Amino acid sequence: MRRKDVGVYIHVPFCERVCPYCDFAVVARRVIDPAEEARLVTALQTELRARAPAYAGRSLATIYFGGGTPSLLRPASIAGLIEAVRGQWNPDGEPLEITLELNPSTVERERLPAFRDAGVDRLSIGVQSFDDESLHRLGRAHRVDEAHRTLEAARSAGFTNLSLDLIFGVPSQDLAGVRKDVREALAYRPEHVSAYGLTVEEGTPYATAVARGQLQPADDETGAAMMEAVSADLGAGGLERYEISSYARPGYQARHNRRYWRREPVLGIGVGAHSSESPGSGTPFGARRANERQLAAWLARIEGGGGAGPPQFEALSEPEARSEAGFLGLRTQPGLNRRRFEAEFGLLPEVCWPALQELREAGLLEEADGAWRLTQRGWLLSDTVFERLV
Amino acid sequence: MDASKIRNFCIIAHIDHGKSTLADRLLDATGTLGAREKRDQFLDKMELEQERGITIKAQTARMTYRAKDGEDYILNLIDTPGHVDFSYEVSRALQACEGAVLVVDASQGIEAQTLANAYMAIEADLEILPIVNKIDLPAADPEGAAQQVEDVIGLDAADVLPVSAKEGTGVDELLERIVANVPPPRGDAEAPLRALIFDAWFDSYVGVAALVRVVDGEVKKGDRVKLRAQGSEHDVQDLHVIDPHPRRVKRLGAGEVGVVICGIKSLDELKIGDTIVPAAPPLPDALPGFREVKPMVFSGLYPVEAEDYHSLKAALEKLRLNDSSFQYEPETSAALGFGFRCGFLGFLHCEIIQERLEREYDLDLITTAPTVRYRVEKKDGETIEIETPAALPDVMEIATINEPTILATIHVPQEYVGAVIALCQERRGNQRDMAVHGGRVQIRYELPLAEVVADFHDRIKSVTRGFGSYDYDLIGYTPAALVKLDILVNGDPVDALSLIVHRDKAHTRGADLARKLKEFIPRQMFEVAIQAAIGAKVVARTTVKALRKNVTAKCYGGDISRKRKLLEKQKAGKRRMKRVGSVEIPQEAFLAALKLGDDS
Repeated sequence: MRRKDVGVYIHVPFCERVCPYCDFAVVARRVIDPAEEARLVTALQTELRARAPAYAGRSLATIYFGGGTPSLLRPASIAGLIEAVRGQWNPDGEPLEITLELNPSTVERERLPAFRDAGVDRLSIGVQSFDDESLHRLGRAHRVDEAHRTLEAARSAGFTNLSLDLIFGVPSQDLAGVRKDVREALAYRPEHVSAYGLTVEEGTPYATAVARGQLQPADDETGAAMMEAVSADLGAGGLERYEISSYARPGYQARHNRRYWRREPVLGIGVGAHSSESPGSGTPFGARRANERQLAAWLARIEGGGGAGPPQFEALSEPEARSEAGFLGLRTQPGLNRRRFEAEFGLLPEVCWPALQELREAGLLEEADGAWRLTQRGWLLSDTVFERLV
Repeated sequence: MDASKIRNFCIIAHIDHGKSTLADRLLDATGTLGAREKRDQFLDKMELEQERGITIKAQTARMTYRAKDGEDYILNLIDTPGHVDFSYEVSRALQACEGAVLVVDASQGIEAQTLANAYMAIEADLEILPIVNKIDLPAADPEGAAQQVEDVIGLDAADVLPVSAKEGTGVDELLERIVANVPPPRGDAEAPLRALIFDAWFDSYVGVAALVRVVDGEVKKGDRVKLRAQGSEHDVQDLHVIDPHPRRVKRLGAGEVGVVICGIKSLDELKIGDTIVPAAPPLPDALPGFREVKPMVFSGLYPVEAEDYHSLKAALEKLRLNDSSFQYEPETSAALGFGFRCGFLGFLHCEIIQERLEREYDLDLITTAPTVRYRVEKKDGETIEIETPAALPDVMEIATINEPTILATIHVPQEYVGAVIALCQERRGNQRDMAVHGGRVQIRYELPLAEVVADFHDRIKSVTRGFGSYDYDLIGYTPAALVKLDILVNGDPVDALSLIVHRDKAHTRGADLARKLKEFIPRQMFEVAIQAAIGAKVVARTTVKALRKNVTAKCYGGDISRKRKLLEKQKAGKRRMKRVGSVEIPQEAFLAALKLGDDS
């Protein structure tokens, strides 16, 4: 916890449709009824007021609207929430990063100028692919031409910090297809790209389809080759890889996302949102909280006046905090800083985990400039590395 | 007790020919068993025995029978273990008898064990009373079976008594024949005591209970006695007869069968086949036929969970209390951790011990491939016996390896002869001879014991659709071209998978093992080479390619706790893996590879 600040995550559970690979807290709504929207915004503000005092005395660093599809909310709702958050910490407005996740669609595209007026300064656009077949396979609602229109509109609206989400390893997609997606993304000169290998999460329709043999995700070799190509092509396009799936131009790393990897406090409000707290009395190694995953249950608690304490609370033990420091630090390009780790836990990482040396010999880790980092091969085998850190 | 009124007899039969049912029917007919206790196969006590339908430890029962001549006779039924692994115990039990009821299934006819047991009984000079059982079955052919008895064993077919133990038919007649035809015990009531120990068990209250047949003289409570072969002296503390529950008696005279308790604490201190004699000189001669029983089959037993080691040790100690033919000593495997090297009389014995450990003691075990005791002649003239592949000296030091050889007697209906011969050839057998009796053929093969320990019995059953039967005798040691086959992962030997095999089989076996391991070893961060090697020579090789990608794409907010827990879970899974060198091998790989040993 280097700075005494806080990031706020606001979860909006609505999506036009639920994608078959998604395991977030999501509710399908083609059109949101204004009354339902008002009720949600009110509940979010209630929870914010109840929980912000726990983070008092900090400055506000970031606001992140995630989902779901938060851009399904009307710009006025977004504006109201931003105002409410600012009001809790620094009404005078320090430099902030305010990110809004947005999917390519006509409605959302038309709202872009209004979102910008509301204070949003960064868009994370769920492009996923520039190939209609892949979009179809992913179960996405939009098609490629809408993605193009949305990206153009975002630039026209004056957004200077755009992030594109891409997914690779989609069934039927080949290496050339992935590289084409990267090329098309680079054409918009994005400040940031998040490129995720498709993960089949337990309990999703995708997992069922894979288990039934109806769907074949990219094999190990192909998946690895895709990740390497994505990394190389984005690098050549001026976006440096600073985390396993994150690429940015200098100065445009996602400050909100970085908070997670640096284990900095985040207040998460809304259904299914997670929060992390700095060490405090009774929680010497910090704590994590999780809200209800069901919309009705979350609403019931907030509206019933139980806003202060989300149901799931977990005080981290020292070994848990150490492993998180290890595997979150190693996810990033700056890596796991040895001295900072020592300052926090009283021993150097390599003393804590003798396996680090073995992993270095195996070519998965390197140690330089006072930090441990994943090698090129280590990026691909990061979970093999992380398994040794618990 | 008037010895002329005693009849000591046993029932001998091939497995499943109805020996235990007949025994129960005799107890029944003589009123020995109260109605409350009537339960199928009273004499097979252990659950496992009941399940497998075989008797492992011999039991005995004393019956009082009023014969048609109006006299009361004491009939001692001496039960015999029903499996090839226990042939020495069978031979001692036969020594305690004067007669044997030979049971032949009326539909199955003579089988390998019928014959083996009949020969043993003839050798022991017993009066044989042949019966054909299960005459109630629709497929029964009592005349045919009786004719086989005449053709194969040489007993008059006219003397064969038809019986249905199930329905009680012929049981009374059998009792009369026992009285009439089984000779009363020979032996000198006036001579110094000689009692044959033919079974023993451990009782937690009284210690070792020895089941004996008094041959000469008598034994009384308080007598000072000596175990002839063992050399130890004891005071007789208690004497029982079993009719069919233990009942205390003051003395056991010549010809009687009963239990002697003399303060022996461990079964190790008493040997089946030993003679109990008076402690005071002059010592009478020992009864003939005593020998030390040595384990023939060896296998490593390891707990699946390392923390079960002490439970396994305690369970082995307990089992051994009641089975001194089973031996164990601690052994350490680099791959499997701490366990025990165990010696068994045969493979069935091994299986039974294993099952009891898993069932009665709730232990999960890994069992290494069974091996036999090899006799290795070294170039320096020394001869050593080894029971584990690890103990085999360096190839350069070995002059000859000799392996134990058996003579297997196999009985099959004619149509399966080809299949049996093929099986025996595949197991490196040499045919000794073949004889045809009606539709059935007796084939005798010399076979390496190592080739039959694992699954030969099952294979015989399967290639003959259950109609074949098999028995064996150890006949000695034969030189053979044997080699030690090692399995290496990235150059490190997996000790638990080493085998001694015939040179001709090493390649196939090695390739099978390597393939099996490959199936179960997960991809690791480096390539894993799996090799099968004889000394420095690699005979089979396969590789598990290095893991290319193992990555979680997203890790924000709620993903973090989830990821940490997942990593913890994966780590716990890894703990169950065994590390050989730097390679992590899951337990299942060993299980699969060792299982392969069973069915190849």
